[in-house]
Amino acid sequence: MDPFALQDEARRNTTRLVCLGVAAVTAVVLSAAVVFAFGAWAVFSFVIKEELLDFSSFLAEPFVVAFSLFMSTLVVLVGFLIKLSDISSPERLMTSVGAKRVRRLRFAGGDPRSDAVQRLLNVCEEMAIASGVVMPSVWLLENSSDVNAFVAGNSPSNAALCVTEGALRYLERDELQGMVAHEFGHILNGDMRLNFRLLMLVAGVTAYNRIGKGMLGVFSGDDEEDGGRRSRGFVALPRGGKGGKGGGAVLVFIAVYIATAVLLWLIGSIGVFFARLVQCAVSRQREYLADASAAQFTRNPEALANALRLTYLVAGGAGGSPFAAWKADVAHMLFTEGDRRLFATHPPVRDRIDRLSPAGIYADEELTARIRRIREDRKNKYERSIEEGRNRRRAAASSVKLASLGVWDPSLRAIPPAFAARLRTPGGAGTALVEILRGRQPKEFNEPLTRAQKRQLASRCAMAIRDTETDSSRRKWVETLTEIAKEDGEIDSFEFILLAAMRRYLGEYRPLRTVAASRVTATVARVVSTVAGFGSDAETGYRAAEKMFSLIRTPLPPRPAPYDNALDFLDGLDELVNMPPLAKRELLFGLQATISQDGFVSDVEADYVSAVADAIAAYGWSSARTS
Amino acid sequence: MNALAALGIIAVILVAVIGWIISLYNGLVVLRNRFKNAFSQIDVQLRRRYDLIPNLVETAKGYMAHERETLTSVIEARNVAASAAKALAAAPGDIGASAAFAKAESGLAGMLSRLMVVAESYPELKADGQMSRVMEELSSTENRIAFARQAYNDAVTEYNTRRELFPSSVIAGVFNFAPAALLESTDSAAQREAPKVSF
Repeated sequence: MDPFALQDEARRNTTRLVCLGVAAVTAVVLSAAVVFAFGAWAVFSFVIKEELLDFSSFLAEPFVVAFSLFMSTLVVLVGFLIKLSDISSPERLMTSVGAKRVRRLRFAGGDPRSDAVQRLLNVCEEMAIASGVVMPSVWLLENSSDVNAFVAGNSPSNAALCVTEGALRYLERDELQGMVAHEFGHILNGDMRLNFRLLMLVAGVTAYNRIGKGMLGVFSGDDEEDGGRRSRGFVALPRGGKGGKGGGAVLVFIAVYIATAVLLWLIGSIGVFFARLVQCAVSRQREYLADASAAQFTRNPEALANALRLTYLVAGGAGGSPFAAWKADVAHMLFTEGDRRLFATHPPVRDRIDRLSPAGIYADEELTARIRRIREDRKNKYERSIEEGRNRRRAAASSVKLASLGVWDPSLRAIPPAFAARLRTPGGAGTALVEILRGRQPKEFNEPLTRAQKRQLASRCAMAIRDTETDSSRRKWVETLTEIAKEDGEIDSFEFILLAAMRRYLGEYRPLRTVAASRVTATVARVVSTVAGFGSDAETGYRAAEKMFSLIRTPLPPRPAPYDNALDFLDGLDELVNMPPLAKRELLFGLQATISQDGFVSDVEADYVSAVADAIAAYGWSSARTS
Repeated sequence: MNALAALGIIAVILVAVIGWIISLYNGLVVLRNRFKNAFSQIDVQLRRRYDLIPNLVETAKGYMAHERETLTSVIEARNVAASAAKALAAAPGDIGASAAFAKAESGLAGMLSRLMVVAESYPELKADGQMSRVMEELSSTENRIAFARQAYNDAVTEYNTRRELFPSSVIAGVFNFAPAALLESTDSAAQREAPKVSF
């Protein structure tokens, strides 16, 4: 290959494509100007002059030409400006993707990573010499096992280059050099700026599309800001100006309005399509150019081809990129990207390799072995990270104490005296409960209530209602609160807590009649099954409870169907009120195991355990006392 | 009126032509400065190598007690090359000085590659972290020298091409832009070999 000839070709193609793109945008601006002129014509014809003007002669008037061109250009410029506000320093971009700046360490220990960084910095400095570009700041994307690199920056003298950790680990020195040289090619050729300008063109054209959509949004009830404002202005106008004949004019006017909006939207859409097409085509040409530049800098196209082969084959023939969120803006600068056709920012990797090396996409024995090793390495790393996450979550969950769920901890120390005083007044507890149910913060609490505090407050308030209200007002509160809980047609976990507490404290008195725990195993199983149903893995969660049981007969039967109705659930729990206290404790420990089995305790799970504790009258037990 | 318009047109054309000539001239100056800068880079990198060699020898000494001779001759070759570079800097363009410099440089490159080969038979040396870092620096320096030469040659080629192409050739002739000489790549090949004997 001749890198110089290839560069010339890519540059020529770029010029052609950019001319095409500018022509396309100009065409869009001109057609949009005609649409604006059409809008103005409609206003003149139906509102101001009240007679149908000849459109072509109207269009020829200098004022109309100036107005419509001005409007059309204004829209494009606004689009440009919006895009321009996106511009950010290369440092900001690098930090936002989580890259870390690397610098030369003078007294590095025997750390293999610092050796890799030293090598990377050396390679970059070598390429800075070979390309004659000022040395950019160098960044490392840690914990990324992809083999990739990209550059950011708006001028060759102020650029930043980022390399993934995978590239440092898996590439040989000359391959790394080829990859870095490719990025230096982007820097030297000013590709970042070129791409940004093309994206500005796209944004300019998108502005028409947006305006058209916004104008149409008025009718679909879509409350888009500019659209809404526009409609009020337009609809008010004909009514004021028309008097008697107003109705028909308004209809015509709305028709013209819709036509303008649809035309703008259509022109914008077509324009965006072509602008993107050109942007991507230019981007592909710049890749070839950067490859050719890299070959010129290193005089070693084979190494670059090898790096490309490696990334291509490791990804299994299709490139994947971890930079999804901001990809649109830097995709262009990446070393490799997937093979998409028309809107690909990178040419097919195979094609690039073919241009660099006569061998094409061919992996020799050494490369094949290396690719196999990398795949295994990455697979192990992936599995390791999964395992680590699972262990971490498990450790966090096993530290969940029942007390922190609001169970066995009647002493709510954070309760302000003012709130306690309110609970003692008639109606005070009920209103407080209504506030909490409605998601409002009782004014006596300065800090936002935690979930556990809310759970405890529900029981506390229920007790207060029992103690301060008369029989009839107590019944009324129960009705009111139940109504509020059912208001939205379903009973959520917190409302369930409240129902359980009310049943426990405000229900009619029943004498306790203790039964052996082994006789209620079926109900216990159903309760555990219901709670387990709120976790991620119901079956395992159900089995996890079993290990805590000894008074309750084990093994538990196969997981029964959970309660599908809150009231049935509460009835089931009523049955368990008669269990011996130690069996109740066992059940709660079992439920604790159930909800923490998958490593994550959700609010809903915690709510139900707390409600069960209230419903089975395990209230007052302290975990400290029992363990 | 007509004469005035004609005069105006002529003035505009004249300004355009002068502007064009200025841009051609400036283009040549930019290219000339680029290759001059590239040349000074070579010098910088050579000096970097002279600075690195004592470091390398110091690290290797502990493991290669029996190769005292090799180490001493590396240091000697380095000193010869450094003083030849100084002599060349004092008298740039002197044919004798540049020949001596080229000879000293290739001698140093030869000694370095011999050291690498010898070092191969010292596994502890290869495992030493400090040594591997110095080696990385050294091979990077060898690369830099090669790249600096290559960048110089690329810049010179671009300058010469522009200088000979019409219409820049006219400007180059009038303002006396002399052709620049390419660097011979006799010893650069040897230097590029050095980092290949990798640690």
